[in-house]
Amino acid sequence: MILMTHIYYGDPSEEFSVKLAKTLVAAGADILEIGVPYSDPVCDGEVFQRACKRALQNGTTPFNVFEGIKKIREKGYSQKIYLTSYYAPIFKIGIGKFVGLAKQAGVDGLIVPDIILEEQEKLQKYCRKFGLSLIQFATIYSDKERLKQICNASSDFIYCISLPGVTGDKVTYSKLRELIKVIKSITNKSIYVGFGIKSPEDARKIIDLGADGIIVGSAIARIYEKNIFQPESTLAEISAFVRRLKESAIF
Amino acid sequence: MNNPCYFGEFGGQFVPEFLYPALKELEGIFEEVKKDTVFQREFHRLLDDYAGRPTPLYYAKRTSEFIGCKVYFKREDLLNGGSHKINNALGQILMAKLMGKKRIVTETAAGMHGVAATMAASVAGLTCDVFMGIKDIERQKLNAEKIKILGGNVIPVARGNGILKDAVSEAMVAWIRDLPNTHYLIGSAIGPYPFPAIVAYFQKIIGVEARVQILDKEGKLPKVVIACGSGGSNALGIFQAFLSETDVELTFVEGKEAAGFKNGSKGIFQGAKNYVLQDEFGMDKKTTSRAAGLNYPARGPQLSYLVESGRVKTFAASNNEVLNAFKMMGKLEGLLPALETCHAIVELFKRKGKYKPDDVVILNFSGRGDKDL
Repeated sequence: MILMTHIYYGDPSEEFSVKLAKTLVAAGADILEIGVPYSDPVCDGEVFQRACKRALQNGTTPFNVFEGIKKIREKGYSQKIYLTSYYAPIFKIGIGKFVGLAKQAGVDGLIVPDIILEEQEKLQKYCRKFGLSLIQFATIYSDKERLKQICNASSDFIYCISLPGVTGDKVTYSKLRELIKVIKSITNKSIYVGFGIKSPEDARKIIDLGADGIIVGSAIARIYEKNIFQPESTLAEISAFVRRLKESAIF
Repeated sequence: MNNPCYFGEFGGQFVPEFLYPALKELEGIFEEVKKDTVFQREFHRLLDDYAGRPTPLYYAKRTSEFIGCKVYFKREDLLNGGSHKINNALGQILMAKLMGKKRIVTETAAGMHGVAATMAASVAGLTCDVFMGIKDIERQKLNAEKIKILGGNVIPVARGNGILKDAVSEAMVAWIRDLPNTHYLIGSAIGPYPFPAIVAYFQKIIGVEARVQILDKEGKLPKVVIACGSGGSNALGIFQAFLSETDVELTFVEGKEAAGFKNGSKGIFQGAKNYVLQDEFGMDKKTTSRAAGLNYPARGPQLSYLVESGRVKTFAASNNEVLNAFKMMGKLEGLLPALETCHAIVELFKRKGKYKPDDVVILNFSGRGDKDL
């Protein structure tokens, strides 16, 4: 099982994000997903909304995120890093410039939660130019025809959303089971499931449905948020949580 | 570019994949209802007998004397619910029924759209959840109360700054959580395609009527049409009838404290490419317009296109100017305009003495101001 962990960079500080990334990797996270904080994060639940707000309040910009990823790379981290950003910052900074900077920072792929295939032409063009993958989303509302288009456009894993809603909501297993089944009938590409995974039990169930990986984000932010003025003090708890997530797939 | 989702370079569908099937369904039903005579008959029956159309085109005599030309008000404030919002609400409710939806979610700021959507939902027997920023509930209490009495649920939105844009996001999320049963009755000409086109379509009745009325009363077209707005639903509603008449100046007035045109730039916001108040990184900026309904950082895609192409001219009115216009309109005409509408009135007052006595100005009197007392 692949464990991908999602953090919003700069929440509550850049220093903490770098430490958090290090902790996640040490505890067994296979892939880092690092988010650009955005002012209107429509796909995110309350925990990540607060994370974005805190990060923006302390002045975190997309350029700081690129710098942060560079720092993480300089510490010798060689596994995959995906950069998550809503489309507004990408568009405003300039699509080519943004993708180029992401590549320079050491990013492997982009995750853009608010752009459908029909609007991706330019983004795909620049991702190809710089050799980054652009992750495609499959949802429980996607029919088979749509899933074929999504799988076809995907140059990497398929990001499968476990529920109808936002990050931190509840997983809907019956619909997720059906969705994974249909995707598997279409493609051999890896399926990572994200949104709403809060516990090793959730992770176990999702792997049993046939997913190749899980993506966990707000469950981690929820831990350090409890002690937001001294988030470092929660790193041990986060580390234990990540270990349990990893182990859940073994038993 | 001949993509129907775009107005020039503006518009599009910048949404999570979740919404793809919902937008396709909406596009399909929207094309159908335009040709569906049964739908059209029911829509116009409700517009006339429930909402109170056609609305009068009022010759504002004292205002005319004050400004120095012939000023007419298109009296959308007289509609049931107190604003033009009911036009779009009734149209979209009938669409929702055709799609078999049971529940309406919507956003409101000043509360006018929330009231209209709830009324329309009740007429059609649907439930209505109205998302409203906590800051707006506080300053537009009367409308929040009205929504409850009319059968809607007011759902307070604390995210972000607790204002209109936050309510839009929260309504969008509520829609995503239950797409099969829910329709998002968006209140302005904003959001992903086809919403901006749908709202403009149901609002165009304002201009269609005004055009016939002014030709009847004056035998000529107006020199200027003035409307306020943020997304642009009332402005597009009246402007559309005059777009091809290049001699008719189309004037749009935004809030100075939320001036998406004056201080904004092209960007992506809440589903579409449009003008938006944003920083260099695409983060929308905080807005502080006293008029909750105009306190939105983006302008709709069609309006953005019309401004970019030069067809529509934009101006801004400040909170202070608006409050003065509010007081003055009471004394001058015995009318109580919404603070939003007062933005258009500010621009009208600024033009005192600039026109010939025979020139005709139409001001879209988009809503009434009881809510703002």
